[in-house]
Amino acid sequence: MAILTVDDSTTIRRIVKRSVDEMGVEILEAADGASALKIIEERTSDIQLVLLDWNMPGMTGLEVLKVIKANPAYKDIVVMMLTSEADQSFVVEALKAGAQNYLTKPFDAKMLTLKIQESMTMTKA
Amino acid sequence: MDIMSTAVALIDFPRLQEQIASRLLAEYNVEITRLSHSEAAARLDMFNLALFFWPDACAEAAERLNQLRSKEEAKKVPVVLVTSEMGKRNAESVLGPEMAADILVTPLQPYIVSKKLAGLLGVKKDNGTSRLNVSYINPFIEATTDTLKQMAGIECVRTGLTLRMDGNTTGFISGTMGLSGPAEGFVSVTFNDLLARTIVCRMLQVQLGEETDDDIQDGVGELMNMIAGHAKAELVHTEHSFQLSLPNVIVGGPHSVGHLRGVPVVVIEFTAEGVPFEVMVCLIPRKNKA
Repeated sequence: MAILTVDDSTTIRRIVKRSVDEMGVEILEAADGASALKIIEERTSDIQLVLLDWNMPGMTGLEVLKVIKANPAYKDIVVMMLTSEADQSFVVEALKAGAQNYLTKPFDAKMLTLKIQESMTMTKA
Repeated sequence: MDIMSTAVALIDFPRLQEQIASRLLAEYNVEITRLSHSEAAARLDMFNLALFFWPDACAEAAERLNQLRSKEEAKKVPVVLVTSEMGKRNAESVLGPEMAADILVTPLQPYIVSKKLAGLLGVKKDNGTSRLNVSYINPFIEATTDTLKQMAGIECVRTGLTLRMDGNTTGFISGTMGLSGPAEGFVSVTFNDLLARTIVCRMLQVQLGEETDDDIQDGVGELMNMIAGHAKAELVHTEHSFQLSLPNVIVGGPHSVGHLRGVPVVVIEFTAEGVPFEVMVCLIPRKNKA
């Protein structure tokens, strides 16, 4: 079981890693959308949850999300957006595209852990 | 803060001084009205700020200023006394801060006038009669406070608000972001080196000294991203709405974070951990651009 964090900021990836490490779950990291899709392709059966930033160089998080959701092989992967885009319209767009959860930056560390745990439950459901 | 809708009264200004003051104020597009002392006493409440010209200010200064504020609604209007060096000395001995918001000495210096004007307009932001609109600055203040609190557990306090006509800063490291859309411009956050390291170390939960320069640059860029994103959500249905771009980081001071020609930069001054830092916002609705 693994969680993939996709964010061009090493700061955010490290904060996420700290939370995930405490859960005893493997953490995978990608700094952009193309790298993320490559990791997902290679580790499909391991990846339970993808935490996805919106604004990144290259592909946007929304574009990555659409690729994931369009592939039946990835149907068991839960996607949670973790982004500074806090407008309601962005939340709606991401949920319509198949994201199961949404957390806006800035976030409290406890909230991050809670949202990750919540998203992991969605996998089981 | 919408400087364009701000009314400034020039009281008892002789023609030459009025021209000088008007020229200094013109770059902010404030609405200027020249009044006599008695006219101002009758309608001071109509203004956001008043400059009272009295080169020979003396011990009667307190009484003259009180006359301007005879109406209850006028008591909150900041009045700046514009006087000579001698007049300033005379006035300072009899005026309390509640009487004169500040004292400017002639000849008027552009930089000082700009700085004082912006600070005073920030003071009078919402008293029910003011036409000053701070709606697009407040989300950046809230975003900065909230971001540092949530990500680093650091409380920060807003200490001032000033205007600059450039994006120069004396800080060491800035996160900047170009803004586009219905409104355009830029936003930046600037720290000294130690404060930047302190904040990022708290975010990463590492000891000060364990961080690398790359950590600091990435952390400051991400702080900028979060501040802009937070503010963006608050401004989404206003004429100041904008789209985010990827943040940039500038290291080494002093430096410039950018500038839109003719558009004032609003500088929001904060302190965190007892150390000052600043957020600069330069944002103008496209429809208002010349």
